[in-house]
Amino acid sequence: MRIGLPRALLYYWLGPAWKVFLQEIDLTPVVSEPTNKKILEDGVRVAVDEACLPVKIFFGHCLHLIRDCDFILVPRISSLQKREYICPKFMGLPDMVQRVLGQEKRDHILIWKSDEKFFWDTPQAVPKGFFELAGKKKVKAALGKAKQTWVEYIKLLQKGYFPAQAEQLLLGESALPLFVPGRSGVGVIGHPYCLYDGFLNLDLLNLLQNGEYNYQIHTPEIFSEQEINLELSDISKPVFWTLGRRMLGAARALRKKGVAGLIHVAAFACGPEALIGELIRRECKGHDLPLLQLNIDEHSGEAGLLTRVEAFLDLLTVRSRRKEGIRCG
Amino acid sequence: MRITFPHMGLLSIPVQSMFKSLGHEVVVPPVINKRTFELGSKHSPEFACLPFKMNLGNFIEALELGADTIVMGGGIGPCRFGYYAQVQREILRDLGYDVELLLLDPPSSGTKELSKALRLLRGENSIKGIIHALRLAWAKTRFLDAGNELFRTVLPRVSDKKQVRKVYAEYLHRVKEEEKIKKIPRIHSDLKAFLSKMKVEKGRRVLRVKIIGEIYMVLEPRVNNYLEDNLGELGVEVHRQISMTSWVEEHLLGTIFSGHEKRKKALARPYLASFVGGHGQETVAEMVDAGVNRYDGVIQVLPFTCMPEIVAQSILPEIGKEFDLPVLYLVLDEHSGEGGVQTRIEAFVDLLTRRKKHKEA
Repeated sequence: MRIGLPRALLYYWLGPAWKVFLQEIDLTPVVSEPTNKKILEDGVRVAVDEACLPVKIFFGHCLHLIRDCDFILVPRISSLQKREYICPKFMGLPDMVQRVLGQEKRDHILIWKSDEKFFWDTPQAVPKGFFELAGKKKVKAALGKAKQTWVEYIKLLQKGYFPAQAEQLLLGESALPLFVPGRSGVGVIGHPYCLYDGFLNLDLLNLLQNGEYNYQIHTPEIFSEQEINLELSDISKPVFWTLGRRMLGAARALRKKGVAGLIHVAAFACGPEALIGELIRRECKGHDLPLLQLNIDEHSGEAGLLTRVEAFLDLLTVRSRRKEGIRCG
Repeated sequence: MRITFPHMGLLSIPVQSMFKSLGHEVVVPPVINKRTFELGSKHSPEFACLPFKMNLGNFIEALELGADTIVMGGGIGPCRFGYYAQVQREILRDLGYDVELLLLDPPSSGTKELSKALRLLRGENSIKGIIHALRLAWAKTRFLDAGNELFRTVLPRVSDKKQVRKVYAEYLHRVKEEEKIKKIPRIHSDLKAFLSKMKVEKGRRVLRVKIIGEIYMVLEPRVNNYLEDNLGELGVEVHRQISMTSWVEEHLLGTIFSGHEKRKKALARPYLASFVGGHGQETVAEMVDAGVNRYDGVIQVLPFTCMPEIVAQSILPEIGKEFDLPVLYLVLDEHSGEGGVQTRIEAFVDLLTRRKKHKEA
């Protein structure tokens, strides 16, 4: 049986582990291709206007997968950490996808649930159908395998590999080494699906990394939970959105790491980012760290984005020259 | 300690009464006006939702009037409300206001703000005094909502709408000033007696419309263009489940009034099986209720970028189709023009009227 895995939203954190899980219970995981124009257009067409771009893209991936898959795995993720949430849209995702797929196909989704506890250790998270199909024992073993993969995967991300490269490495293929010593760094923060979906952010990471700019990129994924929490220990009320907490912590940690500037990529009208972005702005202002905040939606034009990024990078160059000048003089 | 708090519809009346009976000086922020909009949106993050901006505008205007302490709600959930105060505190500090922010954060959120806030609010009051203050505020809340419901029922039916509005305004004033719990029901029965004598407009076809959506946008008439009053003037009887009373019953007294939660889950389950924060699941549940009870139409009111309501909004069209129930989506922010919203409401009411005529024929 072919099970579709949409390459969108938290796929960039959990995808490889889901893939392993499905393989372990003798199902065929089918990962949708990287986002392209058709996927985006389809997603935008079926979604309500107010939904954010990543959610619209998720719908697009579902519509593409349903054509040749028996089922699609749609997560309902309330929280990944105790007393934390992601976003209401993640909690209502299966219900929204059902509307998008329409009457005929609406039952062709499998809901992977999570509540307060993270789900590799809780068999309740697994869609019920899998138990009937593979038996309890096999599912539990597969969960163990998945968790193992996930831990390895997260370790690779922490080393600085991007999700696509980390996935290649997990499969035993070789991937390009990421860090080139001597190159100066820029921090790029944003929710994983905003950073690693090249189509969504108009290939921002590539632009920064390759070609004339040649910057080393640091993303929030290089920091472990402990590192992030350590940065935020002085905050009076803990940030209770997992992604938002990581953004704020990463902004602080990256500043200490000595990056030349920060680029914050957010989806247009993203709820938590509206508030967290404000805190990040204050953080950067207080420490004189250049910050570029990009809001992206389906109308973002490449030229406009490029101009803003170029202007920002020029500013970083001028700043670093000036600093050197002061040091020499 | 000069206390202030954010506005939300009639909420200022019971809250003010509670703080006053506890012996605190209260600075009620000026009624939301153009300047509140300006101040709020100028100093807030661009994509914060309208309630955030309005709260901030309220705070700034109250601080200008000499308030020095803000009482604000908190909580933990997917909705942004729980983190409002943290960001607002930073913004106010940057603007140079030296202000104490008392956060009513449930103990489960892991902060110690609640006990601090309660200690300060309690002051020198005895337990008896506190109970009296709470009971008075609760009585006011309940009767305000009851009076409001009566007003919404009568307004579309009578010919002299101006008179009804006047009597209702007087009612609000009397409830506000009353300090004896026992007398409040009598004020309500006065209102009832008066309204029942009003002359009913003959041949008026009254439409029944349910308002659903985000609580702040539903309850605060100054941000939703006086939606309920305008509908009433157009001959529409407005219903809503959302009210201050039902909020308190569900969220603070949930163990006693467990019906709200059960009702919500039972109605929403087939369409939205999970809690999604804010009033997302309520919105879906009330839409189903409106369909089952054959309402003429539904209006969903939500602030732009509201996350829980967007989830609900994605699901409403299907329910609407199933029950043959028209829905109007009002997504509002500080840029919403009065004229544009009013035109849409009038067009919607026209549509409902024609549908009803057509059905009756």
